[in-house]
This record gives sequence, structure tokens and C-alpha cells, in this order.
Amino acid sequence: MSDVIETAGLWKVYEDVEALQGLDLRVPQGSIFGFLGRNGAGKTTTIKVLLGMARPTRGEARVFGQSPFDAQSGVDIRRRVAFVSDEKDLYDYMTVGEIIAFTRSFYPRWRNDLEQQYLRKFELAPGRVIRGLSRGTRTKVALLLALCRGAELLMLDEPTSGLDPAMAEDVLQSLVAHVGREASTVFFSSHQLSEVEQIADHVAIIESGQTVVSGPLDELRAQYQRIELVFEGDAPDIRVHAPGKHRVRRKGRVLTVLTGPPKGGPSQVNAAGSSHATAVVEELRGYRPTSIDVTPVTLKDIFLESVKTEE
Amino acid sequence: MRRQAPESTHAGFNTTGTLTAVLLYYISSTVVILLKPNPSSGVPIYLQLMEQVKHAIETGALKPGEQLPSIRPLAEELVINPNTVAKAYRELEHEGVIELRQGAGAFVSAGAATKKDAERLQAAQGLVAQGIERLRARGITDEEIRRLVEAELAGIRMGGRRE
Amino acid sequence: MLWHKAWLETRWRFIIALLILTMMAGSSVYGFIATQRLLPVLNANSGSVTVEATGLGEAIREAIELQKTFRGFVWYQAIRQNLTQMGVFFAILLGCGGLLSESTKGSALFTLALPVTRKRLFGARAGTGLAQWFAIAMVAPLSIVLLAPSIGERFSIVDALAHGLCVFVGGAVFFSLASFLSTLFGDVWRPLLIAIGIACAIALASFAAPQLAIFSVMNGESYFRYGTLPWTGLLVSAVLAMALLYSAAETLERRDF
Repeated sequence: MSDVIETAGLWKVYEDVEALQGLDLRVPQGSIFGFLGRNGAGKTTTIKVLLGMARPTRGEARVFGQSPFDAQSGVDIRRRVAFVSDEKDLYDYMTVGEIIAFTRSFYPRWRNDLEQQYLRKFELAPGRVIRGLSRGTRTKVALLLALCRGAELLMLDEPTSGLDPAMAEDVLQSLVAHVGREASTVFFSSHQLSEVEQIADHVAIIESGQTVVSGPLDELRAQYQRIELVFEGDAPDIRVHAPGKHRVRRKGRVLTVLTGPPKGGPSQVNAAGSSHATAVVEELRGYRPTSIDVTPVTLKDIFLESVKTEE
Repeated sequence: MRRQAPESTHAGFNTTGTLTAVLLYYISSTVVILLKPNPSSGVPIYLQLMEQVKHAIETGALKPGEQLPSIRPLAEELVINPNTVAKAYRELEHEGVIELRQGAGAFVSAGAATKKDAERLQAAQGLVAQGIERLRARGITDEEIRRLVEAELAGIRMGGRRE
Repeated sequence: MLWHKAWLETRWRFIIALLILTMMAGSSVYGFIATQRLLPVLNANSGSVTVEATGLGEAIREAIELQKTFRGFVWYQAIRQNLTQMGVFFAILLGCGGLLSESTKGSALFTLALPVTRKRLFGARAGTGLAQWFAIAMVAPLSIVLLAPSIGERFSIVDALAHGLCVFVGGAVFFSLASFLSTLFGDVWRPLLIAIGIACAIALASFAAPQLAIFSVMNGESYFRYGTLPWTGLLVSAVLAMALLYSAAETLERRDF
């Protein structure tokens, strides 16, 4: 199956702000794709471009293999996509029931069965006006509107932001259930790295409008390792020569090395990358530390490593 | 000396604090307890799941021929990616631990763990318990013991010297 | 459902405008009675007052002359003053808002994610507004037809419809102007104030340059005086309104959100 979302060298310049600077992205069909980056890195801009809300300055973007900026194909794309914005803003003046009826009228593949199911599950009262709803309830309404469209692709900007942990788990659970039953793709941006680790099978990290890391999460993790060495005397000033990007920290007798895939190499992660980590461990053993500890690296470590500016 | 049931040392499980996450599955007459995987432990979720299934088989909680939970319901209950569950099951099948029968589901392989294996492992557990007691007697903490074991398994010799 | 949404977003504005303009037009009927009482006084004194033949003097004399008859009074007060002058303001008000102002409230992204073209979004909003303006332009003069008999006068339906049409087409130009400005500025105030400013500027300029006789078209002056509708003026106004709406749709199409 081809990729559901594809960008190549995507640039977007707003007046004097370069929001996207040559972004490359590939989202496989059927995946749950986590889109990570610091605030202002370009996540929301990317989503806007993919939905035809903003026109790219340069480069290519395709959804379902079509262009979002052509009037006709843009409509076709949006008929198959469900979008939930960061702020989850809806029409304040409508009631829950009214906005459901409104949205339903645009989607011939609307799922009435799912509508009933989520109304029950999310405990939504159709008569309530949206203006008076709490953020959590508004998120649930927005999610219902997205999940009932019969969409092949869900695009969510920070779906669990501002939600308490129980509600956040509800949201994640609905997404997971949806992917399982409806064979759709989920593309979501998030700051909650543990959530991304929980449900995503692919991730991309962007920084300053460019992709710094992207690929299957399991393969990505195999490429990073944290190695802690303790020496009898002060830790030596080590330069690691094995290929890959390495961050070395010395503190007294302890040396910590965080290894990653080669800098400047393809940001696409693949299974071959894990061999780099073993080579580094071999090299470090040669320094004869009194102890070597290899600890697993979390997505948070990988994220912080990828987006930190060079010191 | 009476052995205490050891705390789970499977990397990545947070046995404490997951009481609310303990889920009971009733599938025919099987009761299988599967804990929510820890996404931030650094250990891939599919590996954690595989370990859980293997552990269940070893302790006899899952017997050969019994059915495992289906992929989709399991993913929904644990709130993890269905692809991850599928991957875990595929790997388990690859290792011969389970069988995936078209249209029927996932079942523990007949040859997965025999009573002999269970006994073998029980004996092994005794050795581990003794080793742990001896290390503790030397004042080595549980955390240090865990790291020693992991480092040893990762193939790194202590002190950079070959023993 | 886009039209329904546009209706929900503009209904109060519409209802208020309809009520105010209809009431102003209708109540002007009762103002006629007061004027009738005033006239003998004016006639009695007009002999001693030398009204100069200047522009202003002419205007005053004409005003008095016109308001001696019911039909003239209605044209002068209700049509020329209320419906045209106040009407422009309400036409502008109806034309403000739309997708851009939604973005300040945040729901623009939800709307833009719908499987509809921007032209259709704009069309529903503009169409609803024009329909509302048409209703107002027609109902106000017709209310005069209904109320005139209560003071023993008559205002013909044909006159009401003719003036309604002129008010509609003339006002549509300002509606479209406000619509267009609303695709340039997202806030509530700028399109409103700029459009009003332009209307005032045209009003002032039309003294010097009678070609800018948009207000004369709107108040149907040639119909009142000579019985013929201002066809050229109506046509030019219609074309102008459509050009502005088209520009608005195009601007919206290109906009980045």
C-alpha cells in the first residue's frame, strides 16, 4: 500500500517566518504515526498544508497521492480525512446535536452506529450548547465528529492536551479501537511522549521545519543506547570513533555516552542502524572501565537528543 | 529454606502501581492476567508482551492448546497499537511458542512448554534465588543485582576483562 | 447545511436590522400627520421669507414642496432618509463577518477541514446575506403600504416594490463591499468602519461629481420623479456588486490560514 501522506522538500514561508524548511515525511497506510517536535517546530503548519488550508511556498505534498491545493482533489481528500485541531474549536452557538447533524450532512459515509456508540461512551448530551462545555467534553465532541465520518485518515493536533489522565486514556483507547476496527491511519502530533510510545508504531521528529528523525519506532529505539562507564580515576576525555552521533558527558569518574545514528546520514531509520550501537560498546570496552552499564533509551531521550541545538 | 515468590524482574513491567491496570480475561475457562506494558521503560512494547506470554506459559497460567486474547480486543484493553500486538504474536509464532490459526485466533503451541520445561525452570529459579541471596549477603542491593544480570546478558564482561 | 450555519451566525443581526428599518419606514407614515399640521404655518410665513436660489435654499424649498403630498413625504423621509441612508449602514453590517472572522474565534479550521470548496463556503455566506438584505429592502416599503390606510392615505404596492428593488440593488453594492473587506481583515471593526468611511466619502463626493449617483439609484429618484426605474444605474450597481463579490471569493481562495 502506498503512503497515505507524502511530503518532499516542503517549504512554507509566512511573511518572514520560515515555518517549514524542506520537510520530508512519509506516513504508511494503517500506521499510528506520532509527529513530534518542539513548539514552533512546524507541526501545525504541516497539518494545515496537508489539508489545503495553507499553500506551500515550495516542494511537494500529497495525501492519498493527490494534491490538497487543487480545488477538486482538495475536496476529495477532505472527504476522506478527519481533522481535530489543537484548540478543538467548534461552533459555540450550536448544540452538540446540531453540530453532529451539520457535520453529518457533508459525509456520505457517516457511521450512524458509531455516532450512537460514542454518544453513549463519551456521555454526551445532544441538547447542550457547545459554548458551555468544558475542554474535556469539547474534545470528546470533536473526537466523535472525527471518528464517525468514515474517514480513512485521522489527523489530530495534540489530541490529549489539557485533558486529565483518565480522559486522555479514553481518547487513546478510542483511537486504538478505531484503527483496529476501521483499518484507518492515524497521524497525530503530541507533546506527551509516553503516549506516543504507547500507541504509535511510527514516529517523526521535526525541528525548525525539517525532519530530523523518522521511521518505525522499534527500529528507531534500536539505534540509540545509553552507556555508563565508571573508571577508577577520573574519566578520560574520550572521542568515540565508531560511526554515529555520540554525546559524551564526563562527571568525575563517570562517563556517559549516548549513541545515535550517524549525523547527516539518512534520517530514515532502518534495521541496519542497530549495528552502530554494538560497535560503540566494543570501542568503549577498550578503555578499561571498572564497570559498564547499558540502559535502554526512552523516546524522551531520543527526542531531547534530536532537537537540542549543538553545543 | 522457604523461598519467597520473587518479584518480577522482567525488564519494563511496573508491577507496583498497576493494580488498576490489572485486567482479567475470561476466555472459555482460561483466566489470563496481562499487565499494561510500560511505554516509557525503553523496552519495546511488543517485547514486553512476548515476555508476558512466555512467562504465563512457563508458570502454567497459559496451557498448551489454550487460546490467547484476540489482537483487536487485547489492543483496545491495553490501549496499545493493534500492529504491536500483531507483531508480538507473529514473533511468538516464529519462535514456535504459539500458533496462529486462520480465522480462529492465537493458541499456545502444544510443544510450547511441557511439564518438564516447567520443572526445569523451577529448578533454575532455585539457582537464581540462591545466587541472589549470596549477593545480598555481600551487601549488593537488588537494583545493582538487576543491572549486573542485564549487563551480563548483554554480553559485556565486567571490568573490561575476560573471565 | 452551510446556509443554515450562515443563518445561525447572522440571524440576530438580520432581525434587528429588519425591525429597525421597518419600524422607521412604517412610523414615518405617522410623521406625515405632524407635517400636515406644520404646513399651514409654513405657508402663512413663506411670503415674508425670501428663500435664496442657492443650492441649499433650493433644497429646503424642494423639501417643503415634496412633503406636502403623502407620496412625496414617503419618498423624502422613508425612502431617501431611512432606507437609503440608514439602509447603507445595515447593508454593510450584514456583509461583515464570514470565514476570516471565524479564524479569530478558532472554528475556521474546523470549517476549512470540511469537504467543500472555499467558493462554496463564501457563496453560502454571501447568498444568505443577500437574501436577508432583499427581505429587508422589500418588507420596509411594503409596511408603508400596510400602514398608510390607517391615516387615510394610500401608498401603491407597485411603488413599494419599485423602491424596494432600487434599495436592494443599491444597498447590495455596499453589502458586497463589506463582504470583500471582510476577506481582507479578520477583525470585526475594520471592514465595518472602512466601508462606512467609503460610503460617507461617496456621499460627499457626489455633490461634486454627480456620476457617483449610487445613492440616487438606491433611493429610486428617477422612478419617483419621472416614473421610470434607473435602469442604467441599477445595471451598473449590479455589476459592481458582483465584481466585488467575485473579488472577495478569489481573495478567500488564495488566503493562507
